[in-house]
Amino acid sequence: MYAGYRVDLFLMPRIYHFLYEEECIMEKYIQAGYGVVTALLVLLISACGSTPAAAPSGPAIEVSAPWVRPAVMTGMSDMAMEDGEMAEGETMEGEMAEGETMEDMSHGGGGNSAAYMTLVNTGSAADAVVGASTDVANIVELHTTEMDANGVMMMRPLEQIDIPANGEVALQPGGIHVMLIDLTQDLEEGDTVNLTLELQSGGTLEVEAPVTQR
Amino acid sequence: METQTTGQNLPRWVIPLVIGVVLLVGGALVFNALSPSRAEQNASTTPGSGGVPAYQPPTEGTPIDPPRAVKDFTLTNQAGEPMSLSDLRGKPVLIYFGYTFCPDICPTTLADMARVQQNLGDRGDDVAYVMVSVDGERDTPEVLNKYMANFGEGFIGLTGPDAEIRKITPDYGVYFQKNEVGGTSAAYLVDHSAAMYLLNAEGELAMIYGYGIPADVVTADVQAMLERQATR
Repeated sequence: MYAGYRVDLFLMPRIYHFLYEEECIMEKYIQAGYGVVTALLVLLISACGSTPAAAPSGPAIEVSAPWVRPAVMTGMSDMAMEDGEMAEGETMEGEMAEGETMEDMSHGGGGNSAAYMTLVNTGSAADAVVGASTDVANIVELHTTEMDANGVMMMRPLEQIDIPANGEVALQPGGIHVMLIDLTQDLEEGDTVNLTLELQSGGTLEVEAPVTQR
Repeated sequence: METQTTGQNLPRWVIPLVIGVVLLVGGALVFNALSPSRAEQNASTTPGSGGVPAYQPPTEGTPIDPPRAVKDFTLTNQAGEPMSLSDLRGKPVLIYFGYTFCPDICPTTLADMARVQQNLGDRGDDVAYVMVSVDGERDTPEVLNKYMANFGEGFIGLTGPDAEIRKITPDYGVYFQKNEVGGTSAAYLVDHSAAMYLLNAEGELAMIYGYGIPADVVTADVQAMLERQATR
């Protein structure tokens, strides 16, 4: 009551003054007020019900149309070429167990390929692919191809592939791709590559990508 | 006293109103928060995002008119034997400068070349398909042998020392540069021009195709070239 009184005094004393003189009118207004409240409640509840209840509060990543380019083991592995040495600043994080040396690592058959797909985020928070792995390649990296104004193509590693909230990112030739380096088997049309994507939000995504020529 | 009375009785009227306004504003805020904003909906990224505008592939080649002579050269083919450009005289030549460690642009272009070969059907063999490696260090004949067979029948891979390749590329306007890039297990990557070139049967440069040219466009040009050749 006290709060109401203060609101009354502060906001619209004159209107109240006028209305109060007509009790009947007041009652109608009160009823109308409750009616409005009820209507608003109903509206609000139905609005909540119809708003994408499926829209999760965090990121939600789906993969569509994944594919991997056919490729062969060419016999040339950069790891073999480097003869155990690593370039300065280079790390093999996640690829070698502690105490293991380059020589201990099983060398693949060289050659490489790329995986493409569309990553769709139906969630309300952004996410990112921060790493990937597969049985068919010793090393998996996130790369992008950039083309300058002169048609010069430059491939560059990416730390992560960002997937905006309620957005998507297309991995396709000439752009972002998951690079499969040092293949452990030839990839022929009709094969299936199992790929595990690590997400920034914590989980992993298992992707089954057919090998196909596009 | 009037004010006092008003104050005691009117809140019955005020409370529903206040609740109504609060719910309306609150509801609007909640709805707004749950609905993705327009900006977010448009935030879908395209390839080449990250500050670089998406590359627009060409819809047709650039003719060199009249066709321009290019220097002959001799490199090592995937069988480990010397091969000269002039060995291919009498056939149109589709030529590309790339490297086998490149997983994206090069195989895409070579796959397009293979599509041209398929499109040409019986005449597919009347054209030579060549990749000149800009990475002689990795691309030994053995590596090229396995790599080229992945694309098409009779595809030729040529390799040689860097100094030799650098004598050839200026004729085509090809740029290539080795780059030691951090953040990759690769010892180095090679930045290079991604165009494909069509030489006529006389070994002259006739067409330049930017990356992403539809194979059908190249096929039509090659077919026309083969027909002109036949009527000569």
